[in-house]
Amino acid sequence: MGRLSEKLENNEFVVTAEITPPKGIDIGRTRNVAMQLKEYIDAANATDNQRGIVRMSSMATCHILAEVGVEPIMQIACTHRNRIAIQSCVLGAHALNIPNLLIVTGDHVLLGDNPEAKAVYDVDSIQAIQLVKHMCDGYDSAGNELHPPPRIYVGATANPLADPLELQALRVEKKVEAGAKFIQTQVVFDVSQLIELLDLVEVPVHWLAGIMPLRSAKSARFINKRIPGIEVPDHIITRLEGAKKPAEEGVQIAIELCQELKNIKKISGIHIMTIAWEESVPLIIQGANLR
Amino acid sequence: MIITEPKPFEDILEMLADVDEVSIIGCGRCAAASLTGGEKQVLQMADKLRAHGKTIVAEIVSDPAICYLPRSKEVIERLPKNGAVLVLACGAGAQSILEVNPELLIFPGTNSRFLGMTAQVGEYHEKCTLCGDCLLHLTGGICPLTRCPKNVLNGPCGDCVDGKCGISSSPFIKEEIDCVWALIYDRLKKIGKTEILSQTLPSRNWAAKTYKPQSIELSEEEIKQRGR
Ligand code: SF4
Ligand code: SF4
Repeated sequence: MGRLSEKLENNEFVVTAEITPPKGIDIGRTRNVAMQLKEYIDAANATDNQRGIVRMSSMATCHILAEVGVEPIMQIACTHRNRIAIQSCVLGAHALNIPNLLIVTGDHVLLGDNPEAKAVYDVDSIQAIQLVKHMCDGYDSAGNELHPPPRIYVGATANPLADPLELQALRVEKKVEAGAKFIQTQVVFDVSQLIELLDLVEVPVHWLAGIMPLRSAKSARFINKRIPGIEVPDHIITRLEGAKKPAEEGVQIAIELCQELKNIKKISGIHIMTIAWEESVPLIIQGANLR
Repeated sequence: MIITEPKPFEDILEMLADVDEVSIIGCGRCAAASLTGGEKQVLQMADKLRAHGKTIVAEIVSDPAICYLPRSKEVIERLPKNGAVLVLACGAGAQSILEVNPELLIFPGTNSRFLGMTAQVGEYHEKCTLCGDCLLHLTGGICPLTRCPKNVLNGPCGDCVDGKCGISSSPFIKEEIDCVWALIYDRLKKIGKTEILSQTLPSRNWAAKTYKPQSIELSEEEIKQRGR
Protein backbone atom coordinates (compact mmCIF):
# COMPACT_ATOMS: atom_id res chain seq x y z
CA MET A 1 0.00 0.00 0.00
CA GLY A 2 1.06 3.57 -0.52
CA ARG A 3 1.93 6.61 1.47
CA LEU A 4 -1.59 8.09 1.34
CA SER A 5 -3.23 5.08 2.95
CA GLU A 6 -0.41 4.67 5.43
CA LYS A 7 -0.63 8.23 6.65
CA LEU A 8 -4.42 8.31 6.74
CA GLU A 9 -4.61 5.03 8.62
CA ASN A 10 -2.03 6.41 11.08
CA ASN A 11 -4.15 9.54 11.46
CA GLU A 12 -1.48 11.80 10.00
CA PHE A 13 -2.54 14.92 8.10
CA VAL A 14 -2.22 14.58 4.32
CA VAL A 15 -2.13 16.95 1.38
CA THR A 16 -3.15 15.90 -2.11
CA ALA A 17 -3.55 17.82 -5.32
CA GLU A 18 -5.30 17.41 -8.61
CA ILE A 19 -3.22 17.21 -11.74
CA THR A 20 -5.09 17.72 -14.97
CA PRO A 21 -3.97 15.19 -17.59
CA PRO A 22 -2.57 16.66 -20.78
CA LYS A 23 -4.81 17.65 -23.65
CA GLY A 24 -2.75 15.95 -26.29
CA ILE A 25 0.31 13.77 -26.10
CA ASP A 26 2.81 16.18 -24.60
CA ILE A 27 3.63 14.80 -21.17
CA GLY A 28 6.38 17.33 -20.51
CA ARG A 29 4.20 19.76 -18.61
CA THR A 30 2.65 16.98 -16.53
CA ARG A 31 6.11 15.75 -15.57
CA ASN A 32 7.25 19.27 -14.68
CA VAL A 33 4.19 20.00 -12.59
CA ALA A 34 4.55 16.67 -10.80
CA MET A 35 8.21 17.38 -10.02
CA GLN A 36 7.34 20.84 -8.72
CA LEU A 37 4.68 19.44 -6.41
CA LYS A 38 6.54 16.33 -5.36
CA GLU A 39 7.97 17.60 -2.11
CA TYR A 40 4.72 19.26 -1.05
CA ILE A 41 2.10 16.59 -1.48
CA ASP A 42 1.45 13.01 -0.40
CA ALA A 43 -0.39 12.01 -3.54
CA ALA A 44 -1.88 13.45 -6.71
CA ASN A 45 -5.13 12.78 -8.37
CA ALA A 46 -5.38 12.55 -12.17
CA THR A 47 -8.89 13.24 -13.39
CA ASP A 48 -10.86 10.98 -15.75
CA ASN A 49 -11.94 13.11 -18.71
CA GLN A 50 -13.48 15.60 -16.33
CA ARG A 51 -16.46 17.58 -17.59
CA GLY A 52 -16.59 15.21 -20.53
CA ILE A 53 -13.58 16.87 -22.15
CA VAL A 54 -11.16 14.52 -23.87
CA ARG A 55 -7.77 14.28 -22.17
CA MET A 56 -5.09 11.68 -21.62
CA SER A 57 -6.41 8.79 -19.54
CA SER A 58 -6.14 8.97 -15.81
CA MET A 59 -4.29 5.66 -15.79
CA ALA A 60 -1.55 6.80 -18.17
CA THR A 61 -1.19 10.12 -16.36
CA CYS A 62 -0.94 8.26 -13.04
CA HIS A 63 1.83 6.18 -14.52
CA ILE A 64 3.76 9.34 -15.42
CA LEU A 65 3.24 10.65 -11.89
CA ALA A 66 4.54 7.42 -10.39
CA GLU A 67 7.58 7.57 -12.68
CA VAL A 68 8.64 10.92 -11.27
CA GLY A 69 7.94 9.81 -7.72
CA VAL A 70 4.52 11.30 -7.02
CA GLU A 71 2.09 8.78 -5.59
CA PRO A 72 -0.91 8.64 -7.93
CA ILE A 73 -4.62 8.44 -7.25
CA MET A 74 -6.38 7.13 -10.33
CA GLN A 75 -9.86 8.42 -11.04
CA ILE A 76 -12.70 6.42 -12.51
CA ALA A 77 -15.84 8.23 -13.63
CA CYS A 78 -18.96 6.14 -14.14
CA THR A 79 -19.79 8.48 -17.03
CA HIS A 80 -17.22 6.85 -19.25
CA ARG A 81 -16.93 3.25 -18.09
CA ASN A 82 -19.17 0.26 -17.67
CA ARG A 83 -18.54 -2.41 -15.04
CA ILE A 84 -16.20 -4.32 -17.35
CA ALA A 85 -14.04 -1.29 -18.12
CA ILE A 86 -13.98 -0.29 -14.45
CA GLN A 87 -12.63 -3.66 -13.46
CA SER A 88 -10.03 -3.75 -16.20
CA CYS A 89 -8.85 -0.30 -15.07
CA VAL A 90 -8.48 -1.56 -11.51
CA LEU A 91 -6.39 -4.50 -12.68
CA GLY A 92 -4.34 -2.18 -14.88
CA ALA A 93 -3.78 0.19 -11.99
CA HIS A 94 -2.39 -2.65 -9.94
CA ALA A 95 0.00 -3.59 -12.72
CA LEU A 96 1.20 0.02 -12.99
CA ASN A 97 1.77 0.42 -9.25
CA ILE A 98 -1.09 2.82 -8.81
CA PRO A 99 -2.11 2.24 -5.19
CA ASN A 100 -5.13 4.55 -4.90
CA LEU A 101 -8.42 4.97 -6.65
CA LEU A 102 -11.05 7.67 -6.52
CA ILE A 103 -14.46 6.70 -7.85
CA VAL A 104 -16.83 9.41 -8.96
CA THR A 105 -20.23 9.43 -10.64
CA GLY A 106 -18.68 11.83 -13.13
CA ASP A 107 -19.84 14.97 -14.86
CA HIS A 108 -22.53 14.50 -17.45
CA VAL A 109 -21.36 14.74 -21.06
CA LEU A 110 -23.99 17.41 -21.70
CA LEU A 111 -21.79 19.77 -19.69
CA GLY A 112 -18.73 19.22 -21.83
CA ASP A 113 -17.65 19.73 -25.41
CA ASN A 114 -18.88 16.33 -26.62
CA PRO A 115 -22.55 16.62 -25.76
CA GLU A 116 -23.43 14.13 -28.52
CA ALA A 117 -21.57 11.30 -26.77
CA LYS A 118 -23.47 8.49 -25.11
CA ALA A 119 -22.87 8.60 -21.38
CA VAL A 120 -22.41 5.13 -19.87
CA TYR A 121 -23.65 5.10 -16.26
CA ASP A 122 -23.92 1.32 -16.14
CA VAL A 123 -23.29 1.39 -12.38
CA ASP A 124 -23.45 4.33 -10.01
CA SER A 125 -20.50 5.37 -7.88
CA ILE A 126 -21.64 3.40 -4.82
CA GLN A 127 -22.15 0.27 -6.90
CA ALA A 128 -18.72 0.84 -8.47
CA ILE A 129 -17.11 1.03 -5.02
CA GLN A 130 -18.85 -2.23 -4.08
CA LEU A 131 -17.52 -3.76 -7.26
CA VAL A 132 -13.93 -2.81 -6.47
CA LYS A 133 -14.26 -4.13 -2.93
CA HIS A 134 -15.55 -7.38 -4.40
CA MET A 135 -12.44 -7.51 -6.61
CA CYS A 136 -10.15 -6.92 -3.66
CA ASP A 137 -11.99 -9.75 -1.90
CA GLY A 138 -10.99 -11.96 -4.81
CA TYR A 139 -13.85 -11.95 -7.29
CA ASP A 140 -14.86 -10.12 -10.42
CA SER A 141 -18.43 -9.09 -11.14
CA ALA A 142 -19.14 -12.40 -12.87
CA GLY A 143 -18.11 -14.24 -9.71
CA ASN A 144 -14.86 -15.49 -11.22
CA GLU A 145 -11.95 -15.76 -8.88
CA LEU A 146 -9.17 -13.19 -9.19
CA HIS A 147 -6.10 -14.91 -8.04
CA PRO A 148 -4.31 -13.11 -6.52
CA PRO A 149 -6.78 -10.28 -5.99
CA PRO A 150 -5.77 -6.66 -6.64
CA ARG A 151 -5.11 -4.30 -3.75
CA ILE A 152 -6.18 -0.72 -4.03
CA TYR A 153 -7.08 2.04 -1.57
CA VAL A 154 -10.46 3.43 -2.53
CA GLY A 155 -11.82 6.90 -2.03
CA ALA A 156 -15.02 8.63 -3.00
CA THR A 157 -16.44 12.13 -3.12
CA ALA A 158 -19.09 14.16 -1.34
CA ASN A 159 -20.46 17.66 -1.72
CA PRO A 160 -21.13 19.73 1.41
CA LEU A 161 -23.13 22.13 -0.72
CA ALA A 162 -25.56 19.46 -1.88
CA ASP A 163 -29.05 19.93 -0.66
CA PRO A 164 -30.86 18.02 0.86
CA LEU A 165 -27.71 17.56 2.92
CA GLU A 166 -29.04 14.59 4.89
CA LEU A 167 -29.20 12.62 1.63
CA GLN A 168 -25.58 13.53 0.92
CA ALA A 169 -24.66 12.28 4.38
CA LEU A 170 -26.54 9.05 3.79
CA ARG A 171 -24.67 8.60 0.55
CA VAL A 172 -21.33 9.07 2.29
CA GLU A 173 -22.35 6.37 4.75
CA LYS A 174 -23.29 4.06 1.88
CA LYS A 175 -19.94 4.76 0.21
CA VAL A 176 -18.06 3.92 3.37
CA GLU A 177 -20.12 0.78 3.84
CA ALA A 178 -19.36 -0.14 0.22
CA GLY A 179 -15.63 0.14 0.87
CA ALA A 180 -14.52 3.76 0.55
CA LYS A 181 -11.73 4.63 2.98
CA PHE A 182 -11.49 8.32 2.33
CA ILE A 183 -13.90 11.00 1.19
CA GLN A 184 -12.67 13.88 -0.90
CA THR A 185 -15.07 16.78 -0.77
CA GLN A 186 -16.15 19.11 -3.51
CA VAL A 187 -14.57 22.56 -3.32
CA VAL A 188 -15.27 24.23 0.03
CA PHE A 189 -15.66 27.98 0.39
CA ASP A 190 -17.93 27.93 3.39
CA VAL A 191 -16.41 25.90 6.21
CA SER A 192 -19.60 25.87 8.28
CA GLN A 193 -21.36 23.96 5.50
CA LEU A 194 -18.65 21.32 5.55
CA ILE A 195 -18.93 21.00 9.31
CA GLU A 196 -22.65 20.48 8.95
CA LEU A 197 -22.02 17.53 6.64
CA LEU A 198 -19.29 16.10 8.89
CA ASP A 199 -21.69 16.19 11.80
CA LEU A 200 -24.42 14.42 9.87
CA VAL A 201 -22.23 11.49 8.83
CA GLU A 202 -22.26 8.90 11.54
CA VAL A 203 -19.58 6.51 10.32
CA PRO A 204 -15.85 7.20 10.70
CA VAL A 205 -13.98 7.96 7.48
CA HIS A 206 -10.96 10.05 6.50
CA TRP A 207 -12.11 13.39 5.14
CA LEU A 208 -10.04 15.38 2.64
CA ALA A 209 -11.42 18.89 2.28
CA GLY A 210 -11.43 20.26 -1.25
CA ILE A 211 -9.80 23.63 -1.87
CA MET A 212 -9.70 25.62 -5.09
CA PRO A 213 -7.68 28.79 -5.59
CA LEU A 214 -9.42 31.28 -7.86
CA ARG A 215 -7.54 33.37 -10.38
CA SER A 216 -10.07 36.16 -10.77
CA ALA A 217 -13.63 37.26 -10.17
CA LYS A 218 -14.33 36.29 -13.76
CA SER A 219 -13.31 32.68 -13.27
CA ALA A 220 -15.36 32.59 -10.04
CA ARG A 221 -18.40 33.71 -11.99
CA PHE A 222 -17.76 31.15 -14.69
CA ILE A 223 -17.66 28.43 -12.05
CA ASN A 224 -20.93 29.60 -10.56
CA LYS A 225 -22.58 29.61 -13.93
CA ARG A 226 -21.21 26.48 -15.52
CA ILE A 227 -19.90 24.04 -12.93
CA PRO A 228 -22.61 22.32 -10.94
CA GLY A 229 -22.06 21.64 -7.27
CA ILE A 230 -19.68 24.54 -6.59
CA GLU A 231 -20.70 27.97 -5.44
CA VAL A 232 -18.30 30.81 -4.89
CA PRO A 233 -19.91 33.11 -2.33
CA ASP A 234 -20.38 36.79 -3.13
CA HIS A 235 -17.98 38.01 -0.44
CA ILE A 236 -15.15 36.08 -2.10
CA ILE A 237 -16.02 37.43 -5.53
CA THR A 238 -16.00 40.95 -4.05
CA ARG A 239 -12.58 40.34 -2.52
CA LEU A 240 -11.20 39.13 -5.85
CA GLU A 241 -12.72 42.08 -7.63
CA GLY A 242 -11.24 44.59 -5.25
CA ALA A 243 -7.76 43.08 -5.29
CA LYS A 244 -4.90 44.69 -7.22
CA LYS A 245 -3.50 41.25 -7.97
CA PRO A 246 -6.51 38.93 -8.05
CA ALA A 247 -4.48 35.74 -8.49
CA GLU A 248 -2.48 36.50 -5.35
CA GLU A 249 -5.68 37.26 -3.54
CA GLY A 250 -7.11 33.93 -4.74
CA VAL A 251 -4.13 32.11 -3.27
CA GLN A 252 -4.49 34.07 -0.03
CA ILE A 253 -8.17 33.10 0.25
CA ALA A 254 -7.23 29.46 -0.25
CA ILE A 255 -4.55 29.76 2.45
CA GLU A 256 -7.03 31.18 4.93
CA LEU A 257 -9.46 28.36 4.21
CA CYS A 258 -6.73 25.76 4.70
CA GLN A 259 -5.78 27.29 8.03
CA GLU A 260 -9.35 27.10 9.17
CA LEU A 261 -9.82 23.55 7.89
CA LYS A 262 -6.69 22.04 9.36
CA ASN A 263 -7.89 22.85 12.84
CA ILE A 264 -11.06 20.82 12.44
CA LYS A 265 -10.59 17.53 14.19
CA LYS A 266 -12.49 15.38 11.75
CA ILE A 267 -10.52 16.66 8.75
CA SER A 268 -7.68 14.31 7.80
CA GLY A 269 -6.26 16.33 4.97
CA ILE A 270 -6.59 18.90 2.23
CA HIS A 271 -7.11 18.22 -1.45
CA ILE A 272 -6.20 21.10 -3.72
CA MET A 273 -7.93 21.33 -7.08
CA THR A 274 -6.88 23.94 -9.57
CA ILE A 275 -8.09 24.56 -13.06
CA ALA A 276 -4.76 23.86 -14.76
CA TRP A 277 -3.04 26.16 -12.23
CA GLU A 278 -1.01 23.58 -10.38
CA GLU A 279 1.76 26.17 -9.82
CA SER A 280 -0.37 27.71 -7.08
CA VAL A 281 -0.33 24.52 -5.01
CA PRO A 282 3.09 25.00 -3.35
CA LEU A 283 2.19 28.61 -2.52
CA ILE A 284 -0.96 27.50 -0.72
CA ILE A 285 0.75 24.66 1.12
CA GLN A 286 3.60 26.88 2.27
CA GLY A 287 1.33 29.77 3.11
CA ALA A 288 -0.90 27.62 5.27
CA ASN A 289 2.02 25.78 6.86
CA LEU A 290 0.68 22.43 5.74
CA ARG A 291 4.26 21.18 5.32
CA MET B 1 -47.95 6.44 -24.37
CA ILE B 2 -45.27 6.98 -27.00
CA ILE B 3 -44.67 10.68 -27.42
CA THR B 4 -43.72 11.72 -30.94
CA GLU B 5 -42.70 14.98 -32.56
CA PRO B 6 -43.26 15.95 -36.18
CA LYS B 7 -40.23 15.68 -38.40
CA PRO B 8 -39.33 19.03 -39.96
CA PHE B 9 -41.34 19.39 -43.16
CA GLU B 10 -38.17 20.04 -45.20
CA ASP B 11 -36.86 16.65 -44.08
CA ILE B 12 -40.08 15.01 -45.18
CA LEU B 13 -39.91 16.72 -48.56
CA GLU B 14 -36.33 15.61 -48.94
CA MET B 15 -37.08 11.97 -48.20
CA LEU B 16 -40.02 12.08 -50.61
CA ALA B 17 -38.00 13.84 -53.32
CA ASP B 18 -38.30 10.92 -55.78
CA VAL B 19 -41.89 10.12 -54.88
CA ASP B 20 -44.85 11.58 -56.77
CA GLU B 21 -47.67 9.62 -55.20
CA VAL B 22 -47.92 9.03 -51.48
CA SER B 23 -50.44 7.75 -48.95
CA ILE B 24 -50.59 9.12 -45.44
CA ILE B 25 -51.56 7.14 -42.40
CA GLY B 26 -51.85 8.56 -38.89
CA CYS B 27 -52.48 6.87 -35.59
CA GLY B 28 -55.50 7.87 -33.56
CA ARG B 29 -53.95 6.94 -30.25
CA CYS B 30 -50.50 8.09 -29.08
CA ALA B 31 -49.71 10.14 -32.18
CA ALA B 32 -53.07 11.89 -32.04
CA ALA B 33 -52.41 12.77 -28.40
CA SER B 34 -48.97 14.08 -29.39
CA LEU B 35 -50.65 16.20 -32.07
CA THR B 36 -48.54 14.51 -34.71
CA GLY B 37 -50.79 11.88 -36.29
CA GLY B 38 -54.45 12.62 -35.61
CA GLU B 39 -57.01 13.58 -38.20
CA LYS B 40 -56.07 17.26 -38.32
CA GLN B 41 -52.38 16.54 -38.74
CA VAL B 42 -53.03 14.01 -41.51
CA LEU B 43 -55.24 16.48 -43.42
CA GLN B 44 -52.74 19.29 -42.94
CA MET B 45 -49.90 17.11 -44.14
CA ALA B 46 -51.91 16.12 -47.21
CA ASP B 47 -52.53 19.79 -48.05
CA LYS B 48 -48.92 20.74 -47.60
CA LEU B 49 -47.70 17.88 -49.75
CA ARG B 50 -50.24 18.69 -52.45
CA ALA B 51 -48.96 22.26 -52.43
CA HIS B 52 -45.56 20.76 -53.23
CA GLY B 53 -46.89 18.85 -56.18
CA LYS B 54 -47.47 15.45 -54.60
CA THR B 55 -50.51 13.33 -55.33
CA ILE B 56 -52.10 12.00 -52.17
CA VAL B 57 -53.43 8.51 -52.78
CA ALA B 58 -54.98 7.83 -49.39
CA GLU B 59 -55.51 9.64 -46.09
CA ILE B 60 -56.21 7.33 -43.20
CA VAL B 61 -56.20 7.62 -39.42
CA SER B 62 -56.12 4.30 -37.67
CA ASP B 63 -57.97 4.01 -34.42
CA PRO B 64 -57.14 1.20 -33.05
CA ALA B 65 -53.47 2.02 -32.58
CA ILE B 66 -51.54 1.00 -35.67
CA CYS B 67 -49.23 -1.13 -33.52
CA TYR B 68 -52.15 -3.30 -32.34
CA LEU B 69 -52.33 -5.63 -35.31
CA PRO B 70 -55.22 -7.76 -34.07
CA ARG B 71 -57.43 -4.76 -34.79
CA SER B 72 -55.36 -2.47 -37.00
CA LYS B 73 -54.63 -5.07 -39.68
CA GLU B 74 -57.83 -4.35 -41.57
CA VAL B 75 -57.18 -0.59 -41.46
CA ILE B 76 -53.67 -1.07 -42.82
CA GLU B 77 -55.10 -3.25 -45.58
CA ARG B 78 -57.09 -0.24 -46.79
CA LEU B 79 -53.81 1.36 -47.91
CA PRO B 80 -52.86 0.86 -51.57
CA LYS B 81 -51.15 -2.47 -52.37
CA ASN B 82 -47.81 -0.79 -52.98
CA GLY B 83 -46.10 2.59 -53.18
CA ALA B 84 -45.01 5.15 -50.63
CA VAL B 85 -46.62 5.65 -47.22
CA LEU B 86 -45.87 8.55 -44.97
CA VAL B 87 -46.51 7.33 -41.44
CA LEU B 88 -47.59 9.86 -38.83
CA ALA B 89 -47.14 7.50 -35.90
CA CYS B 90 -44.29 6.18 -33.77
CA GLY B 91 -41.55 3.93 -35.12
CA ALA B 92 -43.34 0.84 -33.83
CA GLY B 93 -46.47 1.85 -35.71
CA ALA B 94 -44.50 2.45 -38.90
CA GLN B 95 -42.92 -0.98 -38.75
CA SER B 96 -46.19 -2.67 -37.90
CA ILE B 97 -47.48 -1.55 -41.29
CA LEU B 98 -44.67 -3.44 -42.95
CA GLU B 99 -45.67 -6.61 -41.12
CA VAL B 100 -49.07 -6.43 -42.77
CA ASN B 101 -47.89 -5.33 -46.22
CA PRO B 102 -44.17 -5.65 -47.00
CA GLU B 103 -44.73 -4.18 -50.48
CA LEU B 104 -45.18 -0.68 -49.08
CA LEU B 105 -42.33 1.81 -48.86
CA ILE B 106 -42.26 3.33 -45.37
CA PHE B 107 -41.41 7.00 -44.76
CA PRO B 108 -41.41 8.20 -41.15
CA GLY B 109 -43.19 11.50 -40.60
CA THR B 110 -42.42 11.76 -36.90
CA ASN B 111 -39.56 11.29 -34.50
CA SER B 112 -40.41 8.98 -31.61
CA ARG B 113 -39.21 10.67 -28.47
CA PHE B 114 -40.16 8.85 -25.30
CA LEU B 115 -42.61 6.84 -23.25
CA GLY B 116 -44.47 9.35 -21.23
CA MET B 117 -47.51 11.04 -19.92
CA THR B 118 -49.71 13.68 -21.50
CA ALA B 119 -50.27 16.12 -18.65
CA GLN B 120 -52.55 18.24 -20.80
CA VAL B 121 -52.86 18.72 -24.52
CA GLY B 122 -49.42 19.87 -25.64
CA GLU B 123 -47.53 18.98 -22.46
CA TYR B 124 -45.65 15.70 -22.31
CA HIS B 125 -43.26 14.24 -19.76
CA GLU B 126 -41.08 11.18 -19.99
CA LYS B 127 -41.92 8.65 -17.28
CA CYS B 128 -40.37 5.28 -18.07
CA THR B 129 -37.38 3.98 -20.00
CA LEU B 130 -38.68 0.40 -20.10
CA CYS B 131 -35.80 -0.93 -18.05
CA GLY B 132 -37.38 -4.35 -17.73
CA ASP B 133 -37.26 -4.59 -13.94
CA CYS B 134 -39.48 -1.99 -12.35
CA LEU B 135 -38.38 -0.66 -8.98
CA LEU B 136 -40.96 2.02 -8.36
CA HIS B 137 -41.91 0.42 -5.03
CA LEU B 138 -38.43 1.34 -3.77
CA THR B 139 -38.54 4.93 -4.89
CA GLY B 140 -41.90 6.17 -3.79
CA GLY B 141 -43.34 5.66 -7.25
CA ILE B 142 -40.94 8.03 -9.04
CA CYS B 143 -38.50 6.57 -11.57
CA PRO B 144 -34.82 7.50 -11.10
CA LEU B 145 -33.74 5.52 -14.16
CA THR B 146 -35.88 7.74 -16.33
CA ARG B 147 -35.42 11.05 -14.64
CA CYS B 148 -31.81 11.04 -13.44
CA PRO B 149 -29.52 11.83 -16.38
CA LYS B 150 -26.79 9.78 -14.70
CA ASN B 151 -28.89 6.71 -13.84
CA VAL B 152 -27.94 7.17 -10.20
CA LEU B 153 -29.75 4.52 -8.19
CA ASN B 154 -28.42 5.53 -4.81
CA GLY B 155 -28.80 9.24 -5.15
CA PRO B 156 -28.52 12.03 -5.37
CA CYS B 157 -25.08 12.72 -6.81
CA GLY B 158 -23.12 15.71 -5.55
CA ASP B 159 -24.61 17.95 -8.22
CA CYS B 160 -27.98 18.20 -6.52
CA VAL B 161 -28.15 21.73 -5.14
CA ASP B 162 -31.37 23.21 -3.79
CA GLY B 163 -33.15 20.15 -5.08
CA LYS B 164 -32.17 20.97 -8.66
CA CYS B 165 -30.21 18.74 -11.02
CA GLY B 166 -26.69 19.86 -11.88
CA ILE B 167 -27.33 19.19 -15.54
CA SER B 168 -29.46 22.33 -15.55
CA SER B 169 -26.27 24.36 -16.03
CA SER B 170 -25.72 22.76 -19.43
CA PRO B 171 -26.39 25.19 -22.28
CA PHE B 172 -28.52 22.40 -23.81
CA ILE B 173 -31.04 22.44 -21.00
CA LYS B 174 -33.55 25.25 -21.34
CA GLU B 175 -35.26 25.08 -17.96
CA GLU B 176 -33.92 24.16 -14.58
CA ILE B 177 -34.89 20.58 -13.84
CA ASP B 178 -35.60 18.98 -10.49
CA CYS B 179 -33.20 16.37 -9.15
CA VAL B 180 -35.29 13.22 -9.16
CA TRP B 181 -33.70 12.11 -5.91
CA ALA B 182 -34.88 15.24 -4.18
CA LEU B 183 -38.37 14.43 -5.47
CA ILE B 184 -38.09 10.82 -4.32
CA TYR B 185 -36.90 11.96 -0.91
CA ASP B 186 -39.82 14.37 -0.50
CA ARG B 187 -42.23 11.69 -1.56
CA LEU B 188 -40.78 9.09 0.82
CA LYS B 189 -40.94 11.62 3.63
CA LYS B 190 -44.58 12.26 2.83
CA ILE B 191 -45.49 8.58 2.93
CA GLY B 192 -43.28 7.90 5.95
CA LYS B 193 -40.96 5.53 4.11
CA THR B 194 -37.53 7.20 4.15
CA GLU B 195 -36.04 4.09 5.73
CA ILE B 196 -36.10 2.52 2.25
CA LEU B 197 -33.23 4.84 1.37
CA SER B 198 -30.84 3.22 3.80
CA GLN B 199 -30.48 0.16 1.59
CA THR B 200 -28.01 0.31 -1.27
CA LEU B 201 -29.70 -0.66 -4.50
CA PRO B 202 -27.60 -3.18 -6.44
CA SER B 203 -26.37 -2.66 -9.98
CA ARG B 204 -28.90 -3.38 -12.70
CA ASN B 205 -29.15 -6.31 -15.01
CA TRP B 206 -29.16 -4.69 -18.44
CA ALA B 207 -29.09 -8.01 -20.28
CA ALA B 208 -32.72 -7.82 -21.34
CA LYS B 209 -32.01 -4.40 -22.86
CA THR B 210 -28.83 -5.46 -24.61
CA TYR B 211 -30.50 -8.39 -26.32
CA LYS B 212 -32.19 -6.88 -29.34
CA PRO B 213 -34.81 -7.02 -30.59
CA GLN B 214 -36.83 -8.05 -27.59
CA SER B 215 -39.85 -10.23 -28.12
CA ILE B 216 -42.31 -11.94 -25.86
CA GLU B 217 -44.25 -14.88 -27.20
CA LEU B 218 -46.71 -16.52 -24.87
CA SER B 219 -47.79 -20.12 -25.33
CA GLU B 220 -51.49 -20.93 -25.65
CA GLU B 221 -51.32 -22.17 -22.08
CA GLU B 222 -49.83 -18.91 -20.78
CA ILE B 223 -52.37 -16.84 -22.63
CA LYS B 224 -55.11 -18.88 -21.00
CA GLN B 225 -53.49 -18.49 -17.58
CA ARG B 226 -53.28 -14.73 -17.87
CA GLY B 227 -56.86 -14.68 -18.99
CA ARG B 228 -58.05 -13.55 -22.35
S1 SF4 C 1 -38.06 1.39 -12.95
FE1 SF4 C 1 -38.50 3.14 -14.25
S2 SF4 C 1 -37.72 2.56 -16.27
FE2 SF4 C 1 -37.93 0.69 -15.09
S3 SF4 C 1 -39.96 -0.07 -15.63
FE3 SF4 C 1 -40.16 1.13 -13.74
S4 SF4 C 1 -40.71 3.18 -14.43
FE4 SF4 C 1 -39.92 2.09 -16.21
S1 SF4 D 1 -28.53 16.01 -9.50
FE1 SF4 D 1 -29.98 14.32 -9.12
S2 SF4 D 1 -31.03 13.94 -11.06
FE2 SF4 D 1 -29.23 15.20 -11.49
S3 SF4 D 1 -27.65 13.73 -12.05
FE3 SF4 D 1 -27.42 14.09 -9.85
S4 SF4 D 1 -28.68 12.53 -8.87
FE4 SF4 D 1 -29.27 12.56 -11.02
